[in-house]
Amino acid sequence: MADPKDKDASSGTAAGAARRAPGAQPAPDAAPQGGGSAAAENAVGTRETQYIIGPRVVPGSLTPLAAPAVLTNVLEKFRELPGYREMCRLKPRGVGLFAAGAGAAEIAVASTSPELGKELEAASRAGAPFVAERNRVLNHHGLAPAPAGGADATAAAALPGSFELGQISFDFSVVGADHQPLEGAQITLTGRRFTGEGVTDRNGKATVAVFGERPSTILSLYVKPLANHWERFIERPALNGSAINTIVLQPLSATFPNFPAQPMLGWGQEVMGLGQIPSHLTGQGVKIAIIDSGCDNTHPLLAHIKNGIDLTNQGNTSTWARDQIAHGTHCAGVIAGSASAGQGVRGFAPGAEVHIFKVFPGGRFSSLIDALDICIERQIDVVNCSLGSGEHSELVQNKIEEARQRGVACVVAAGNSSGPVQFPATLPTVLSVSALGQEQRFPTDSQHARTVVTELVGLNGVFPARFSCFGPQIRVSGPGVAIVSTVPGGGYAAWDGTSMAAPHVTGLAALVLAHHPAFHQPALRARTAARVDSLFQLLVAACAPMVADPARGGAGLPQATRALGALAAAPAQTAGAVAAGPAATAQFPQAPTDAALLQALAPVIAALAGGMPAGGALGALMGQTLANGGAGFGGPFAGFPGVGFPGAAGFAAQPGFGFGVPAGMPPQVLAQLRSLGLA
Amino acid sequence: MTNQHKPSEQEHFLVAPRAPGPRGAEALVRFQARARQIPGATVPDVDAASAKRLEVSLPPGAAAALRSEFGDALIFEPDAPLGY
Repeated sequence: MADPKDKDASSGTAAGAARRAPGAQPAPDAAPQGGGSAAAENAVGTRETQYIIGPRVVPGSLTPLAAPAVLTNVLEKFRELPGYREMCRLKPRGVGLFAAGAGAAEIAVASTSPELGKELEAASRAGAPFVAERNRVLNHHGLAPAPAGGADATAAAALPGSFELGQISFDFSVVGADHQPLEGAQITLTGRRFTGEGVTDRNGKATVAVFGERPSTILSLYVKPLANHWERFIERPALNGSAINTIVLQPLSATFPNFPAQPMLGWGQEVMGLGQIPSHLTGQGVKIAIIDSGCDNTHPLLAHIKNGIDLTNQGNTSTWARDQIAHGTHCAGVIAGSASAGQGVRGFAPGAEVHIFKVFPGGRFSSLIDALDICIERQIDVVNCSLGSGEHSELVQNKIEEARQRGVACVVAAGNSSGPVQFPATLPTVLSVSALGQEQRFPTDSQHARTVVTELVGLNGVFPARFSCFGPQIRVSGPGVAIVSTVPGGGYAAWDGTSMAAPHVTGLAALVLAHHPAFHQPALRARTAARVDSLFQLLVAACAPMVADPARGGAGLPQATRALGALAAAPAQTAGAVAAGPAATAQFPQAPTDAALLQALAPVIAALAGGMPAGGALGALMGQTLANGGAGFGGPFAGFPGVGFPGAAGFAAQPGFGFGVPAGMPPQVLAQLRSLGLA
Repeated sequence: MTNQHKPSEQEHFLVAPRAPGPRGAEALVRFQARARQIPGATVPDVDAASAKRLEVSLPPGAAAALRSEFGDALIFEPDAPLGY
């Protein structure tokens, strides 16, 4: 339970606790209070924050910009602000020449609501005559002796101060918008030293214990639902150790009306132009392998997937459909979710023949080699590898090269460690994929929002995901933030990762192999390395650059309309096949010119030279591709009704800040300063 | 004497010939026999002469000697876990 001595542990009844940031999911409705023996409920919001507020001095001196008496007046006025609670004043000590404190001005220690705190900080940055800054927790830098008990000794031994704090625990209730309990939600509390985790039971309840923390040192609360709801991420949560802390999650249907009954395109499929190509192009005749955690084919969108093998279970041919991790099922939905199911999110190539290779949990290099061996044997065309390792393997490298020589194309996720590209995405013989996100595709109080790299947001709000690995090996990028796709049990979930980006590219690769006329010509129909290389070249050439740094975005986001050439000029999907919302105004920037496309396809030309008569497959490839010109790049995004979350009204996003910053002095503070004649 | 080597303490390796042909296959057969002599090692009971590779588990410290002995003819690398 929480330390009752901790004065900073908000009960959640503070004004600030009920407030929320713009675009955030609403706080729960008034939870039932009292009522017999039931424990009190605490609707979890962001807790109050401590600030120290004192005089601003003339640079290079200790002379305050405003007279001490004026500053005192300012502090008194602040007391009238809602959400402001002064805790104490730090008064200068001593007298005369030996007095401490700039000009004998006082410093206030105050606890504020999150919103007022941000306003004070903004005012301080804007040059107000006072400095307002977070009253941060100090660490001491003592080192404890190495644990004597070996590996079993608690890590807390190396963290002075932990022992006296002991363990605290919090009771949680995770519910949906109408207060129905949500089972299976993962709760993660992150403290300054340790984390605590729990999973909700069938009543939506869980208790999470954390060692060596106080309620005031809990940095964040993250709740990831099993399905059908948005996740929530709350910084500095206002937790109550003697009540049930209630977290309300918003359903996906609050953003996508009537979802999943009303089918839609995911934003990833949308920005890659899947909605712009004829609905009958579904990847028929192509074989796709998904090497992952299995695939729940009882999901309505995945019932057409019949082939699989469980490499975690001696090659069992039935247990591959048990996906305990859900990762493979999510990837399968992006690649091949069925449109004919009449619900949910359609995948790229539902007409393709999908083969599932279950290697997780417990997958190793040997599992990957086994799976690739079977891919070669089964004449798979495209393999999705949303997996990787920090280690290199010569044997895996050899197997991937062997697969390439046999016409098996490997699309590999770059990795999520925010560092160098992971193996095997490092190999030049694969198509490595980094992850992009797009602003306003997710709630602001979610982990998705934390993937935004503000400084790198491009036109249309597209950004390279913070977690995505980067490096010269990145060939293309794919949508990988807040990707809504299938999960076991028949539901849907919004996930992040290069694991989600790669399947978008895999799905499009299957469409190209199935429908681009060049790959029906003998030279590229043969299962050779040239077929794989040509496929990769075509996908790279069909990219729209989305971010400035190629190490983060590669050639860009492959466009279905360009990759499929003139085929995409046919009438787009009929209404009803996939419901498209009203067109948005965003357009892709910097469409490659035809000259650039020709240059990019030069290796394809070289690969095909000699084996192909003039005007054959090469002509078809070039002709069909170029015939489309840049038409696909100007195509509109098809927006979803209600997809946009309100931005920070009145706030202007400024490069260099991690969040929306008020443009100029906040009105509330400005009014107070004006009343004092300071502004 | 009891086996002191718990499975969790073992290290997993992939071993395969560096090049196709009789020399690599012969080295893999010799490796299999040699590894079986190591207490705590787990070596698959397959025909190494026709196997493309072997997946073996070895107690800590055992790999170095094997690598130096067979490294010229065999690729000997950790069977590292994959992440997703």
